[in-house]
Amino acid sequence: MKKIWRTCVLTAGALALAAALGIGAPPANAQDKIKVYASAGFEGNTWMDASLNLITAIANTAAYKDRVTLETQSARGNAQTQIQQINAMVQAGADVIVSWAISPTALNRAIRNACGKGVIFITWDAEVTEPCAYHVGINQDWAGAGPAEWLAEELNGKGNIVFMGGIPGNMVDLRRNAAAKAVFADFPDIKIVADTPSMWNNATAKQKLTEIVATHGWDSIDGLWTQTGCYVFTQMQVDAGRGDQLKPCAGNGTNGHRVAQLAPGTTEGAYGLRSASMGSPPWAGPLAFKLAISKLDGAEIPHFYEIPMPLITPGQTVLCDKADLAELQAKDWSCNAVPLSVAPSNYFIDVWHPEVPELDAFSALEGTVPAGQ
Amino acid sequence: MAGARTRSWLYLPSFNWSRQRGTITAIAVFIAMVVVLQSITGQGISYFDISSITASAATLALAAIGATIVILAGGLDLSAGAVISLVNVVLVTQLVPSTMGTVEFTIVATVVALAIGTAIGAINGFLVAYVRLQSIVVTLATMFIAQGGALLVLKFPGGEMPWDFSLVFTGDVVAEGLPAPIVVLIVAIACWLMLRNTRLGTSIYAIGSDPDSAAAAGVHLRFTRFLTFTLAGTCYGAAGLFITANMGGGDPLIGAKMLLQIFAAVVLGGTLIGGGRGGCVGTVFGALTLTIVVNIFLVLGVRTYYTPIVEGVILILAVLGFSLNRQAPVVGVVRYWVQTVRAMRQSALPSRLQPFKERISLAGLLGTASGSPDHGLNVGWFTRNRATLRYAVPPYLIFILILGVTIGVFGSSFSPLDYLNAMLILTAFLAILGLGQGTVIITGGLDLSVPWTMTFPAIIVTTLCNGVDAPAAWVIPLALAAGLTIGFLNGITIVLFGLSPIIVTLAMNGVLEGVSLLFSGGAPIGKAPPALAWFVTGRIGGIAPLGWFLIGFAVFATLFLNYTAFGRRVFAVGNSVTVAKLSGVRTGFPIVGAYVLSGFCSALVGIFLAGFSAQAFYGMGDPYLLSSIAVVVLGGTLITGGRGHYLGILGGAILFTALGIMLSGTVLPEAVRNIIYGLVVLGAIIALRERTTA
Repeated sequence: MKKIWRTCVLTAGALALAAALGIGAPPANAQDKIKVYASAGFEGNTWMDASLNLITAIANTAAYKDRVTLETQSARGNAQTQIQQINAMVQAGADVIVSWAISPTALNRAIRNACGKGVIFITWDAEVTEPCAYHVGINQDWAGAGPAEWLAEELNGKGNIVFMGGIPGNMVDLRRNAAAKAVFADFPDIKIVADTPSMWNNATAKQKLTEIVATHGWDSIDGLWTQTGCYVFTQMQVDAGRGDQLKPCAGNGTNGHRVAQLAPGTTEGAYGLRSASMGSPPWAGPLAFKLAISKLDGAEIPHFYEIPMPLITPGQTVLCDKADLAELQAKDWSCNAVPLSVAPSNYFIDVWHPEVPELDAFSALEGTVPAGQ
Repeated sequence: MAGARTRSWLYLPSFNWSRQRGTITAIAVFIAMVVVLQSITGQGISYFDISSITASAATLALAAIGATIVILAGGLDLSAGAVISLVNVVLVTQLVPSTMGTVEFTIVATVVALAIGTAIGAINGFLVAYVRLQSIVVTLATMFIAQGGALLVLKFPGGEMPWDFSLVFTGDVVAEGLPAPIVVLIVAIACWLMLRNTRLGTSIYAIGSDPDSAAAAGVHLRFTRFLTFTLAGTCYGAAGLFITANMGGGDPLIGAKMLLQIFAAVVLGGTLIGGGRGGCVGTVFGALTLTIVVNIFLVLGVRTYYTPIVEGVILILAVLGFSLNRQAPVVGVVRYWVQTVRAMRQSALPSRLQPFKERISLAGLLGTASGSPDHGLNVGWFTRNRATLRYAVPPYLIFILILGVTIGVFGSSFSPLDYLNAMLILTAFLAILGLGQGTVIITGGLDLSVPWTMTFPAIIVTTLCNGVDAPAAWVIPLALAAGLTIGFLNGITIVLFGLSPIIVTLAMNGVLEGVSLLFSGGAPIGKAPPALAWFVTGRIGGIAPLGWFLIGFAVFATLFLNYTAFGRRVFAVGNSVTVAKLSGVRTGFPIVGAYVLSGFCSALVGIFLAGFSAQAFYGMGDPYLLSSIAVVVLGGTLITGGRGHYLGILGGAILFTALGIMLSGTVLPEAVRNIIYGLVVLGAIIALRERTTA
């Protein structure tokens, strides 16, 4: 029995260690504040990092910081964990849960329970099928079709293309792919020669592209439609000595991709790439936060709040020096890229927007609140 | 013994407490967690908390019961998560609720779920028990196939199960008194206790403890093994049924993330990986503990960064609680050093003794024994290496077949130089990982820390170099040293505390995930140094420098693993630690060495991968865990240790890469690709199967 006690003591010690490491005491006046929880289905890429930083920043702006407490939890990719975290958040007295759902169906019962207890449950980017939830995001069909239309036109309706989706079995992925394929179906001379998932992961995208080039060769590929990896695609052609004849690419909105669209010589990483860059903007996160609070304050909000999807084609790229609030205001929010020294190439750059006029690029990069906000 | 206890007026069957230590510890840890949660929650644990925690834990518990049964019998089953996904999507898509009442619907759903699970379990069991394949590979293959099947049945999450059906499993049996998930868990435990007290239950423990003795004692080895996998499948079916009720919808990826958690629950429950000791009662409490930790973290507001670290530490501490006693190897090590120091003081070390004047030669010994100097040593190379050839050659033959198909299919656009280059780069990743993982497997272990041992050094390199070459001169050695250190910590913990490699490396993986999150503060940014990127993607004579490196590496690895003293000791330890020890091998060194090598190889591949995609990011190592195991096994290495050849592993890596290249070039749906992967793995290991000698 002694050993059993020892295990208990050790375990309790580990928990105490955790307590000492990570946590302060909960705020004393927490009772009268609005309790907001952010429930992220995963954590650890620049897109989610930007989203969570923006949500942290908005909660610290003057309009909210005295009214709201915010805590963030991530389910690390496990739906069962997210179900349980949502249940525990409700139990801990949440007023608002802002969530990126790991699965559109798995959380439904937990969400229904939350709604039943008067919690406002709002998702950004990743939708759920439970009707009591609110959602802020882009039109995912257009996220597939928009870039596809651009690519088909760029190729004059003719050519061999490589098609790379995200994670098979994911609803967003399926909707984008289906909408894009419907567009390509209207062009009988466009042929999809290889169709493989990128897992929304640059290394996988590069591996798959390497594999595809091995069997198809650069000469028989005319363009790429992808959910991840235009930057990788471009880099591979430069490495293969084909930097002067880059093939068009329709894909995601990372900073590196935007910069690559600029005329060569403009800044580091500019290749004059012919491409369409779409993206699901991380600023949907803080907007969901704002909408939920306004709902608590009595305003009516729609269950699906559609935000515009950026679809940036060559000539539309606007490089700003650092996209802080002053510059964004001065340039009327037209910026859509920053130098690679400000935000790295894999950074999803659609982090600012006039709908969240309190925040700027540094809110996303570092979670800071711009001066005066 | 039983007689001594009958002095009490109540007759109790003798109960061996020390044998139940694992279970009791698991329950005690769970109770400790409950106490912690109760004391930190403002309003205390509510009925809703109990209901939601048990509902969350039940899926994990049911699946982990299945895994426990297989592990008790000395096997390992990777198919759980995929089977859960398959059951979930079949239930959601194939049952029509409107035509049935709730009771009928529930019965039909239960029958369908259990039938699917049992059928897949039976296939696993048949292949393991009767075709005599290694369980980890068989279940790896069925995992791919079941996951592919799930994606074919339901392409994306959706569907809705009737609310009443959900309530049967997740509602209340007694309103505000007894949540249904608790009843589910009690029924599961009751089934297990009944099973344990049957002849089959005894057989399961017997074949897990010592298959040969069990067979000698009249246990039907094959049939028992078959039944363990079949029963495990039934449990996964039940888990799939429960999660379907808990979600109320379908998601073809729902089980994908569950595998490592299932093992953690089994281990926390006090079951010994390797078989023979433990039980499912502990497993259920292990699952409950893992689940309640989530609530504790939430109440404490622990940053997500720390959760994997704390989970890893809890796992290790719990297992230490089970295994730390006077028999622990660490005690022996301390005693050894005490004696060595004492001997040194007395100048009585063995090295001070007079050495033998002459070296003993094997040929000399044989010569004196038989009178003929070349007896038995003068047979042909093929005869001597027949066994090795039989398992090392098939991967190459299959590769040639795949190459033929690839050229046939892509004939017009196939470019040999691009193909060769892609083959070399992508094979390099798997071949290097294969050396580390292969060496660990040959010692009889398994390294599950590969994903984050790859990712963490990669993050170190991109963060500290940030696209500049100059710092790489010290950053890359630093990152490699991190890999070595991780491997050393794995190895030393395994050796000193006698812990199962699966647990130690699983915990290490979690700790590294947390450390990586902390190190990079949320998301890794930064860029690989250009020289590193050039090394992986540039060209020398049409081929990436990494490709040339691979050729040298393969030669080195072959010599290192199969022709050095270290390599021979690795094989000796893998065949039998006891025999190795009696033969004068200091068994700790090759084991620690194997993990150090694996840590180094993982770090090296992680760094190359950062160069490959110019960045590092979380999850970059995840796809490589199962593929690193797959190439080792495809190359003919025995998962139980003791047999293998690096050229076989290299063949496995080449075969796996060629298959990937062939499939990527097509427009087949991913589901079909998964199934093809599974079938190829199965086909390869059937080809590699040892002939029955009995």
